[in-house]
Amino acid sequence: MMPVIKLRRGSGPILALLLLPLLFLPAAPLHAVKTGNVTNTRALSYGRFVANTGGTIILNTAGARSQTGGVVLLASGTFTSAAFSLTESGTGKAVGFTTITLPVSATMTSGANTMTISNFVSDPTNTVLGTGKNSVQVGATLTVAPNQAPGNYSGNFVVTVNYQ
Amino acid sequence: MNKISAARQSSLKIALVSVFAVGATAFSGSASAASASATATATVVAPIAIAKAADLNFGSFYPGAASGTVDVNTNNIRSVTGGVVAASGGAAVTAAKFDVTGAASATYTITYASGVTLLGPGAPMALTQISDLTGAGSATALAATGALGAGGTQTIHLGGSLAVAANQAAGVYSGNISATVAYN
Repeated sequence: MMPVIKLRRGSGPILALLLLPLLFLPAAPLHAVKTGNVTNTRALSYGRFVANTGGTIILNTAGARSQTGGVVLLASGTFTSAAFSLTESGTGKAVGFTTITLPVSATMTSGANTMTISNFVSDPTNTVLGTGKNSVQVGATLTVAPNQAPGNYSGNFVVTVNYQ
Repeated sequence: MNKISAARQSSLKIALVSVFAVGATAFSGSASAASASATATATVVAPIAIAKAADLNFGSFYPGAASGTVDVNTNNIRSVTGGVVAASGGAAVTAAKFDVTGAASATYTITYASGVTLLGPGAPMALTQISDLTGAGSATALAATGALGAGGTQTIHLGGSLAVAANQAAGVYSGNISATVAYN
């Protein structure tokens, strides 16, 4: 006698439930993707400057600094573009990073005083990164008001990298 | 017959569940995102400014049959060389003073007008400038850099050596000196 003949009516769904975990086990290694991670490795730093009649300071992705308007850049102090490293962890298929999402703007504060950062740019640009890229440099433009109050300003911004 | 059809039923259900499971796994891995927050910093520095607090004044002196110099150091002390003889009276002898204000502890460069001469009734008299940041009176050259104190201030003391020709024509001589400061 074949064992299947011993099945009674109504036992099919119970058997399916029992087998359900087994179905996921072989499926996981075949389809899982490693987890993509983004880590900030360098802050966005505009260095030291005098506001005077105001203007903007542009930090490009390579960390070069330029200004418009009456802003006077001082050589003392450090200025850098921001940097992020892309890594993957876990098991599964290699992560394919696809697009970078940059903030529209960010605000820096010093006490009650504020300055706005906008026009974020990244290298690579926010198009397809491709597998194998492992770092992103981010620059942005700082707007300085006329006679912007002296002080140390700081703020935060978030960069998101999508992957599949 | 009934028993066999029951077996078919259950295998059909297993097949359906299996398709669903594969589909769900593939979907969960199709798009993900990772984010990181970064710090942005900037330091706005108060403008640097400079203002004259005292003029450089060599006072009164007599020229001699030989040329010489009249010297004022940064501590307002005057001396003479060569044929020049110091005279008392007249305007008080002072070194120039420039008050610099700006950001606390900031360093800066100082530049001065060059080729300064004092003009008057006779031949122009050339001025060689010296300066320091203490007024100690031991300056022998021009201070080229400064550092503002915790209060964001510093004073540049400027003296000099005035070249007086033999029998320099009597009268009042004057000229302009200047100091310009810029943050590093």
